[in-house]
Amino acid sequence: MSPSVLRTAPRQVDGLKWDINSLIDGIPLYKLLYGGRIPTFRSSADLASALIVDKSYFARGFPSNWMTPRLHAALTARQVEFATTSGTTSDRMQVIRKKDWWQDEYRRTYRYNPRMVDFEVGTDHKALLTTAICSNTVCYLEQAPYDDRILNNALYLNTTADPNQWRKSDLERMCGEIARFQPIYIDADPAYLTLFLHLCAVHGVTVPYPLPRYITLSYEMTTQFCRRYIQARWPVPTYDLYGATEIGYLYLQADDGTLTRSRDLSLVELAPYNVEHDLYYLIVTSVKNEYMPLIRYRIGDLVKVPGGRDHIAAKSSHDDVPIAYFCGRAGDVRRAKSGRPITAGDVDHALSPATDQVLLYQITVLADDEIVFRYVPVSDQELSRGDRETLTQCLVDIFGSPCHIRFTRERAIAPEISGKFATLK
Amino acid sequence: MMQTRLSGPTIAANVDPAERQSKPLTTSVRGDFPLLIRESTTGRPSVYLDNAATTLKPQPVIDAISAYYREYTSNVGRANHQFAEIVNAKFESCRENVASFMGAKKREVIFTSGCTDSINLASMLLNLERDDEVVVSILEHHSNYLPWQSRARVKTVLTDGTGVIDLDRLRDAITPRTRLVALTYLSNVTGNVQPVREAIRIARERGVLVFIDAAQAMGHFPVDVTELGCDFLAFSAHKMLGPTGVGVLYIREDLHRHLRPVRYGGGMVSNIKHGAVTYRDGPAMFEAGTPNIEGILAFGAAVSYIQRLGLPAIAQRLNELEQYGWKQLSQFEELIFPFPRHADHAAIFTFRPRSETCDLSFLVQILSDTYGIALNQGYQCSQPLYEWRGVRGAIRTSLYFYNTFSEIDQLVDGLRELRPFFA
Repeated sequence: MSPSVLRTAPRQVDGLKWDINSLIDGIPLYKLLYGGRIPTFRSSADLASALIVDKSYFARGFPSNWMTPRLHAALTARQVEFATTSGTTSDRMQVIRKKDWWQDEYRRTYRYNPRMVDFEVGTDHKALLTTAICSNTVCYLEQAPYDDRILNNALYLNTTADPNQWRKSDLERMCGEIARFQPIYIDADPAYLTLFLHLCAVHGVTVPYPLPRYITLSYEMTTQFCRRYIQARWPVPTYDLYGATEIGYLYLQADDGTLTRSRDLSLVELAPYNVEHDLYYLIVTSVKNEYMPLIRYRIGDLVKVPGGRDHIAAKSSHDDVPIAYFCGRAGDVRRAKSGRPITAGDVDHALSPATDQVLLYQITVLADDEIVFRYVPVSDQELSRGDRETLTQCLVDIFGSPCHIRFTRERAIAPEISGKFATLK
Repeated sequence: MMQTRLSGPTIAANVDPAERQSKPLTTSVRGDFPLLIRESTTGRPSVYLDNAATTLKPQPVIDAISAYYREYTSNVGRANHQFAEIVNAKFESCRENVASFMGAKKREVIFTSGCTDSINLASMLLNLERDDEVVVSILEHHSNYLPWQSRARVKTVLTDGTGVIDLDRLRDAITPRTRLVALTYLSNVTGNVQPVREAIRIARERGVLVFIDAAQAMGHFPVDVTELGCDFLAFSAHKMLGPTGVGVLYIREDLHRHLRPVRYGGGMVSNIKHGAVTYRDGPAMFEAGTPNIEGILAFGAAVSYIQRLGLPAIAQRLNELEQYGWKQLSQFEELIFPFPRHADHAAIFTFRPRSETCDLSFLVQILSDTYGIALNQGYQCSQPLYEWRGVRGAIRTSLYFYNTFSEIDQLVDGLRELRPFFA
């Protein structure tokens, strides 16, 4: 597959802090990409001459496409670690990076939040509540003992593939482990943390006290319903943390809710997806991983940039452009009757004011103007008629009329194969 | 010393396999397998080397399933309308065909949902008690271990230095409490063909029933249950070109009258009068409810496909692949083959890097995503064997007759390029 030829000038005039050319020198993938004539990147403006590349291209030919004498030496000396990202796209990508790469990435990122800056990575305790890790080297599924699930002073709480299957004993175990481990903060998948808190309430399991000092929500898009539920039950500062296995973190939320770019060793561009509706692709150039620097990588996610047309044109760097919210995958976009693109983020922001009685939801757009709104309610009750009418109106406003909305109350909504929850299908 | 395989030719080790490659067979069949001719996403041809897990399906098998849905959907043995007549005839013809394929009588062939289901069914039919002993080998797949272990006392016989069950130990393991000897015909991990004929003879001399797990053997070389003399034999359709969800349990006919049904439902009774039940005899007694009709019809197509190619030709082809594969793979000094390769060895190679820290899962992912090669890694549902040998998982390459030397070369090239990951 050839890379996209979309070229977007970011209008950046600042000099680059890193010598991209020397970083990508000798990497076969870039030689192939540019037919041996790699442009010179002296400033971020020069990046406009680079091709925008999707994950499938970066993923191909691994590891040969990345093999340099330096990487070969690091491999031989066992100085690297491996990861695979499935992401939410069909392409999975193998990643090779120096050992304990994430530890450095945490340090780089936490500096951008005044509350998190004091967190001593590798020393202070944090707990993670996400999909259960299971690879050939580490598997936390099922019976993994407490001590085995602590890595670099990070405790991995979940041992179940599907959080809907958590039993009272699982919740008691996790609460007990939080009380025992006393993490300063919890890094969680928002849907998992929501279910954890909800199921604790349902089963009468007391959540540990004192609460963590703060929470980061990552791994998938945080719905407003989840955020509100979490904040109501665990009233501590809660920050969205946006990133991916292959690039590390790009954005970290501040106390006022704004998204701060964690700029170290990376540069963000916003390429038009649908300017009329303020939708932009996130394009990143990241040299955080010295063995796999990614130049103009189109992650596949969309962001909402109100007034983006003016903002982006006026800014010298897109790193400074304020992002309103993340919109999910471009591949998940649906179309309204008017042709307007509908993203998962747009739907979520439109629905969240309608009710506070939804815990998790999933919208399936069927043919013939039919939309199914599956939801797990906060209480054990169906949504009230009033809530349903308000939600119906929101959905009709988004998707266009005529539009028949069918509500189905669910005991659980199953996660996707990746362990993440889809809100728009 | 070369073990005597039940039937089917073996190739002398000193013959250059390249000279003996059954090109006509391979060339003629590859076009029948849609997965082998589809465009690969890696830019290289797709290579499927996970055949011990399940084989690919040829077009006639796929067609048989869709024909059932498109042309003559009906239940079986329940009606006499036009579609039912077609399905009834085809269904029983499949049973006949399968029986002939394995040297059994038609009434000895019981359709199940797979080899695992067959073993479970047999374990129920035997009505084992806790103090009864079942002798198995260390090579057994969990499917031929857990069903026995859940009902009786399992005694495990280790292998000898050549990688096959130690027959002296087997002899010693049989006691007056032994109800059954349950052995794999061909290990899904080591690839070694087991001396089942000798094992059966030993068991029978002691008056003990024998169960053979032929999941890896069937469809790979001729297996004749009558010649073998076993009492039970099980296998899956999907490991020999058929669909998943279909298996066979062979039960020697003269045992039927000693067995009572353990599953109940439609299709298995002659009549029920005043609460008294008369069961049908033959396979129907053990096949309660509607079977996987389309799966069984497709399985029939798979058997016909194999019969057309001829099992001797398939066995020869697999021998060629085994010899070439071993020659190519054993050249890697960085790899170890943790299980002995017996003289009678199938085209299954299980290896791992010498380095204990190598992430096998990552290695197999790269081989898949970059080189287009489908392999298996882990314990292959045979943890007792791995535990005994002190091995923490391995990569398994398993071939079938549609594989080629060049596919083995593609694997070897991939491994060569990935040497920095495991050297």
